[in-house]
Amino acid sequence: MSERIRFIISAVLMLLGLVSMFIALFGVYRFRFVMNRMHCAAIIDTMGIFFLLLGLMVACGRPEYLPKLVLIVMLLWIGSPISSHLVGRLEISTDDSAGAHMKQEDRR
Amino acid sequence: MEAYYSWLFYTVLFGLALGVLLALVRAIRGPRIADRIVGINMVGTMSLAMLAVISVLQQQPWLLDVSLIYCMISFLAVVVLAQIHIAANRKEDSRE
Repeated sequence: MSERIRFIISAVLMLLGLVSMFIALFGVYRFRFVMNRMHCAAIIDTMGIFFLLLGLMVACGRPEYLPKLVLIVMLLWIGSPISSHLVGRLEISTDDSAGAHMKQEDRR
Repeated sequence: MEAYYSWLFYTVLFGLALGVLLALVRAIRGPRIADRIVGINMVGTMSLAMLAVISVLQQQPWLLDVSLIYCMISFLAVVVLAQIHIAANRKEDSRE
């Protein structure tokens, strides 16, 4: 019985990670500008990988996997903002018309 | 129970492979260099998740070390590509 509950929990977590990855991919195809796309691509690095590896941690049930899985999540969470920041700086410094995409809309 | 787990893992692997293909298409079609770098970053993260799933499916803990190194290398690739393009652009600006 407890085996079945563990399987259901891990299946729900892993499929949630997969679904959030596909939401991120949809957003990457939907938006037109790199800054918006970066925002969607960061979902894969944080939420998708977190839920997928959490499901794997529940599924494997052996202690030697746990620290490495936690370390992968930690490395991605540290590395993803840095790479996003660098990609944003690259876009700003190479594209002269980038400012036109980032104007705030007047909603009145 | 083992059969259910392998079904789950193969389903997740199939979905991740589909996602890698879609991200690769985005990286090829992206109009600017930043789009391509974002696409390559997504491909790296999803193949890392595939490696982790395979390591639990095949009961091979050392594959997690490979995915850990893969994580660092894909991060390094993004940083190096971005810095190279920023520096090249700065050099062109100063030449004008």
